[in-house]
Amino acid sequence: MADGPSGAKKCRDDDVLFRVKSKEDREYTLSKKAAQLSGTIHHYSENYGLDNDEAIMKMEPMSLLEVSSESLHHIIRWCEQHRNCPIWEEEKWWQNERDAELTKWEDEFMAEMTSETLYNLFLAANFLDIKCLLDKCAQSVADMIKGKSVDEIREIWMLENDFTPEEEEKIKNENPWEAILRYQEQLEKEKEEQASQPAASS
Amino acid sequence: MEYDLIIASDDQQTPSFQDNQTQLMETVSESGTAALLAVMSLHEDGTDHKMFRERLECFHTWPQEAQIAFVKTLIRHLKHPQLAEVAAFLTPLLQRDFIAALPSCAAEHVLQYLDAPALSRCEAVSKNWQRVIAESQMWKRLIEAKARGDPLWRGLMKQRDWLRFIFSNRDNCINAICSEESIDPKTICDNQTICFILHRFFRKLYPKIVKELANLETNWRNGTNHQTLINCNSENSKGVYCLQYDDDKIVSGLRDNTIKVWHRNNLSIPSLTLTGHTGSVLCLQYDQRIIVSGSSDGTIRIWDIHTGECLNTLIHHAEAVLHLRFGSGRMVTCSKDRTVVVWEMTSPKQMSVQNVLSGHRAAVNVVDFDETYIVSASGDRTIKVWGTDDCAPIRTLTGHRRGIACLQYKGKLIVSGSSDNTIRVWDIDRGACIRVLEGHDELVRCLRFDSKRIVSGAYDGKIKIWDMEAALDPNSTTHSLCLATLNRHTGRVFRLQFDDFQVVSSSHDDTIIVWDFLSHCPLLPSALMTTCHESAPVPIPMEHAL
Repeated sequence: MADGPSGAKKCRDDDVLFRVKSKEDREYTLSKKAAQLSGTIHHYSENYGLDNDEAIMKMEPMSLLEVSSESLHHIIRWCEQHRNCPIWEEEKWWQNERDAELTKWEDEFMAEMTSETLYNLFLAANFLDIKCLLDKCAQSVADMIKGKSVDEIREIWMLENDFTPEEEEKIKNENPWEAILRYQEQLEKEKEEQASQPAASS
Repeated sequence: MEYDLIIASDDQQTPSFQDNQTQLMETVSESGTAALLAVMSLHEDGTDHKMFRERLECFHTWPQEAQIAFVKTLIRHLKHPQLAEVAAFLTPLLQRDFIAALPSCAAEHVLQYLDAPALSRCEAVSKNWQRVIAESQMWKRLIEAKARGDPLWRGLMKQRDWLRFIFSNRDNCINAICSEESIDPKTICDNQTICFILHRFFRKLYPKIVKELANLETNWRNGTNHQTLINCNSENSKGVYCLQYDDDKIVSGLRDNTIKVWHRNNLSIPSLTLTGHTGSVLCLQYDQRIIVSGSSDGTIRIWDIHTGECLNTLIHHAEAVLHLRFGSGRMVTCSKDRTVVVWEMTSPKQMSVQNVLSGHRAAVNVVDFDETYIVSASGDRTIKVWGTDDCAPIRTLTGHRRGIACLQYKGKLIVSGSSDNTIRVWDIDRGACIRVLEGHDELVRCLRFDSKRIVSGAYDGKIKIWDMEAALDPNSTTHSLCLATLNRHTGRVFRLQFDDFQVVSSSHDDTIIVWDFLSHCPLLPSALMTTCHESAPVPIPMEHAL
């Protein structure tokens, strides 16, 4: 069979659909480019000879037993949105000049997530090895932690404080940031004392 | 049976669901409620086991909204203590512990985005979180990230020989820590102890670094330092005109025509003495391969930095070579003969004059350049800016009331020092003087600057440290700009260089002084000790004093 001209093949790239199946046995499709964002799918397609469009068109859906339909729906949305992005590199991701619109889309995408969906999405992204989504999930969770007190963090995820009061006191004493704050206070105090000394002597 | 009927009728009839609700409330008996809850909580020890399962299957077939409404209805029938039981049952179901329950790599990914205050708080959230942070060595990673991104952190860790703890594999790291804390590595073999020792070490190291950096800043502001004096023991004419240093060595150009290289681990005798110039060595610069020096004999010599062999002698200037800079295949020299010369550096032995810049009406004391501009300053009281590629004059900066002795140009700034005892800060693009620093009582002979400070040396032997950020802020008052004065040289300060931790200066008094702002910090032992409450299962001595 003669392949079409290479240009035509390129155009078709987006049209070839990859078939996947969720935990609940629901079938979904995503474009080949979007599917390649997942390390797991990439690996699977290499192992099962899905390296050409024809094979992909004939493929049996790939079972993603750990991914729920809801998560898979979000994952596909994410991957389709990012299918033309350069390959994700840990160090360079933020150096790349990012498309402001894409960043906005990502933020909105994350804003939709409830704690529960985010958790499942995070797990699914981890299972499917989608680096850019994993990173965004990690950031979103980190943003939920930043600037919060210990109690506030516990409140967000309803975590139980399983430390005894003695343990808590010890943690507070050894806490690296507390130590720094105490030290800064001491420096400030010394500075004030120094400043007040000449005034007192004169 | 009534109950099942209602369920059946409600199935797939969401619109009529509200109407059914009251009916539901009436028909669901109290025992039914408890039973269903029992099924839900999987306590399948009830007698009506089969019945529950059938009802549950039926429940599963409902639309989601109907299920929720139904359960809400059930809950409304509960007494207060029962509600408490339900709440206790629900809480763990709702928990989504992103740190403890996610696969460890995902949790680490999250924690990596946290700074020290957030990480400190996370440790106090729960035992699980504490464990994850310890196991994934988050403090070590945080320190590594800082050392990678912040030159000050990296510099401090290098100075303190702490880099061996990070950027190394686990075995090397644990060995280094064991020797640091006098633990016999043989006594710890299980993974958990290793993990704990590493974690404890780095979580103490972090605040220690922050404190040392705070001390360093305080020392710069107060001028607190520890000095090391190098006596150059010049034979006849005494004085050290120029120097450059790095972590290993100090290269100095002397009035007695020699260049002396001092190794920093032995500052009593020079490791190399280069002879050849027939006049004082007025200026020098070196890189990994060569030293280039300019002399009052009018020549420029190029030396092999390792062997000390003189590779080339350039005879061009008619009078003393007062200053030179080289880099990126180009060298710029200036002379008492009032010219600036641009050289093309093909190799140490292949140097050719590319251009001669004339315009100054007196000796050109100093030059500096980058790929955009060449900047020269002269006894004629002006600074001239030239294009680096075409060597065309661009502008002349005037303001100093007497000759200019020294200058540095970097980024958008020129800082110059003059015989009028002032230092001026200029915006190179606008050619405007944006700050005049007054404080020296004699000619300002040498200066350097970075983003934080300007350090200058004068003919009265005094070195002053100025606040660069304040100098650039138009709202700063003049008296807030000079942070400290270093006073030990007994003769004119000829040349200095500095970094985040030290100033190295040379003087007419035949000495080089290393002013170290890091060592011998005025420590606050009480504050340092507060983090040293030991709580380890392994007996480990108290932290070493800094």
